[in-house]
Amino acid sequence: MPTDNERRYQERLDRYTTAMDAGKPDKVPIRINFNEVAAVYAGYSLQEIYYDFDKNLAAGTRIVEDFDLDVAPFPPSLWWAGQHDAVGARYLRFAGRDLDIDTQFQFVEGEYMLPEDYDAFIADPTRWLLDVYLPRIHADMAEPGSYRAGLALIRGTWGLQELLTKQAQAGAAWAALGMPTGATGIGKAPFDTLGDTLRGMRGILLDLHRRPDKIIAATEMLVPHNIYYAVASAGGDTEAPDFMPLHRGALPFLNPVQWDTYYWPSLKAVIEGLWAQGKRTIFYAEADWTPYLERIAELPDHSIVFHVDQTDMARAKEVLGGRFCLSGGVPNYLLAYGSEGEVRDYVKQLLDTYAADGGFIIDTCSVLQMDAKIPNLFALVETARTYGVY
Amino acid sequence: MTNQTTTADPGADAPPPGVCVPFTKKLDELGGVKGDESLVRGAWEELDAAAYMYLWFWVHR
Amino acid sequence: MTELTDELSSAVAQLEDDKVLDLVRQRLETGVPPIKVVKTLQEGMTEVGDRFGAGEYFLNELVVAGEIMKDAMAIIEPHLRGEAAETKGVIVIGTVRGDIHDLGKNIVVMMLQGAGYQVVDLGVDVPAERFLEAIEEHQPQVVGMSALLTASQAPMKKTIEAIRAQRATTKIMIGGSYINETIKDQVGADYFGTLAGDAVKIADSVLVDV
Repeated sequence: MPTDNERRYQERLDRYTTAMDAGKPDKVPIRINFNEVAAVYAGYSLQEIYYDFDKNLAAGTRIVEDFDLDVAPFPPSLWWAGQHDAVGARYLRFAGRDLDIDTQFQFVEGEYMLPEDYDAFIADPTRWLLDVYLPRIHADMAEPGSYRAGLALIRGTWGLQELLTKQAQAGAAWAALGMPTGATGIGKAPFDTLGDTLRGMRGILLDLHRRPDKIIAATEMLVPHNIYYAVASAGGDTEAPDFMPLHRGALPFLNPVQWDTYYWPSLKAVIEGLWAQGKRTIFYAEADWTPYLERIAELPDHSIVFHVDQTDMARAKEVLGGRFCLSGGVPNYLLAYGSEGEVRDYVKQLLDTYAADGGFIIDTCSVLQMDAKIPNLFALVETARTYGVY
Repeated sequence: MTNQTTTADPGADAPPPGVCVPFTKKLDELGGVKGDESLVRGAWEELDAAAYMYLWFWVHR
Repeated sequence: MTELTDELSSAVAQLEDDKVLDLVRQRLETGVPPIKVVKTLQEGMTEVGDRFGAGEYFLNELVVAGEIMKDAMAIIEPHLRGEAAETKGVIVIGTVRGDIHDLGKNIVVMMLQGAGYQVVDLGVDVPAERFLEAIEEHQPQVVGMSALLTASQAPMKKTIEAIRAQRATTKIMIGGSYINETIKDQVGADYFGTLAGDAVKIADSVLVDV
C-alpha cells in the first residue's frame, strides 16, 4: 500500500506530465518558484539564505509543506554566497556582503570575455575557461599556479559538491513529502551563454555588428556543450524538464533577421538535441516573445513548455496551443499591489480563458520579487486548486 | 553521460563536452594498465567530467 | 522618418561608424565649429531614436549608435575648449538604491543626450542623498530614476519623498519595463516610461509646461 505522500507524489507527477504533454489532467498543475520570498515566509533574512545553505533549503521545505503546489520550487537561492566568496567570485552581489541584508542577489554585467578571446574560446572552450575566464572572474584565481589560486579551486569545487549534495537531499526530502521536482538541470540558448556571463549584454550586442561571424562560430560550438550541461546538471534525469532562462531573444534586443540568424538556429539545435534524449525544456521566455511564436512552433511537439511572461498569451495559445503546454500568466505586479480578491478574480479568468482544454500550468509571469504579498500567493494557489478542476 | 556524441567540430584538439582531458591521453601518460582498463577509465572519466562541470558551472547561469 | 540631408547625421542614423569618425575629423580640420558637429551628430541620434520608436531599430542598434556617439565625442571633446553646447535642459538620472542594472538607464541617457539634453548620470545603486546633492548642484528640470526590479519600488518611494521634502517642485520621471500607472502613483512620481524613447518625450513635454 502506498503511503499518502507516495500517492500524492504520483498524482502530482501525473498531473504535471500530462499537462506538459499538452493533455488534460485532473486539475490544472501549479508551479510557482517562490525564490527569495520563501525566506520572508520562513522568517529568514536574505543574508541567511544566501550564506547558510541549510536555512535556504529549510525555507524551501516550508513552502513545500504549506502551499499545495504540484511541483517543488527551486530553493530560494540557487547560489551559495559562501562558495562565491571562497573563490573571490566577482559577478554576483549578495545580501549582507555588498548589498543590504534584505536585497535580492544581483548579477554584475560585465565583459568577462573580451573580443580577442573569441578564437581561443571557440578552439577549446573548457581550457579557455580555466586558463583565462576563471582567473578573470575569481579574484583568488588571479595568479594561476599560486597558493591562493590552488586553494580557490579546492574550496570552489568542494563548495559545488556540497551544494549539489544538499540540493539532492532536499529534493528527496520534498519528494518524500509528496512533491516532485519541477525542473532538473540548467539549459541555455548558446547566444545567451555568450551574452549573459561571457561577453555581457553590451558586448554581445556590439558583436552583432562588429564580429558577427564569431557569434555564429561560438554559438555553433556551444550547442553540444549546452546539451551536455543541461543533462549532466540534471544528474541524467529526464523525467523533469530542464530550466532554460531565455534572455536576449526577447523583443526588442535583436531585429528579426538577427534573431533568425544568430539566436534561433543554435537554440533550436539545443532543444532538439535535448528532446532526442527525452529531455524536455521549460522555455522560460522572459519578457516579450510574441513576434517569434511561429518560429518556436517549428520545435517538435511537446519538446518545450512555453512560459509566458509578457508574451501575448492569446497569440501563444493560438500558435502553440495543442502541441505545446503553456505556463505562467499571473503578473508579478498583481501579486505585489493587488488585493486577494483581485488575485482570485484574475486567476479564475486566466483559467477560463487559457486552461480549459488542458496543456496549461499556472505560474507567475516572472521570477518572484521581494514585494510579492504572502496572502496573495495563498490566494493564487487556493483559487487555482479549487477552481482549476477539469 | 559520457557517451554523448558531438554534432560540431569546434577545434581539432578540443575535447568533447564533458571531457577536459580524454582518457586516451591519460592512458598514454600511464603507459598502459596491467589490470582491467575499463575500471581505470570509468573512474578517470567520472572525475574528469566533474572538473568539466565545475568550470562550466561558472558560465551557465 | 525625417529626411536627413547632412551626410554626417545620415551616417550616424545608418550606424556607419568609420564614416562618422572620418567625417567628424574632416569637419574639425576644415574649421567647422565643434559645437556644430555635435549638433549634427545629435540629429543623427534623434533619427536613431525615431527608428527605434517606429520598430525599425532594436536595442542592439541603439547600443551601437551609443558607441559611435561616444567615439565621436572623444574626438570632438579636446576641441570644445570649455564651449558649452546649447542644451534644452538639465536632467539628473540614476538607478535607485539596491538596483545595479544599468542598460535601461544608459540607453535613456544616450537618447536624452542625443535629443540635446545635458544629462548628469549618477550611475547605479544611487542612495537618496546622492540624488539630493546632485539636484542642489545642477538644478535640473527633471529627475529620472530607473529600475529593472519591481523590488526597487520601496527605495524609489523613499528617494522621491526625500527629494520632495527638499525641493517640492522637482519633476520626477521613473522608467523600467515593468512600470505602470499604479507603480507611478505608489512611489509618487510625476511621469513614467517603459520604452527607451519615452524619457525624451516626457522631458520635452515638461519643458513646454515649465
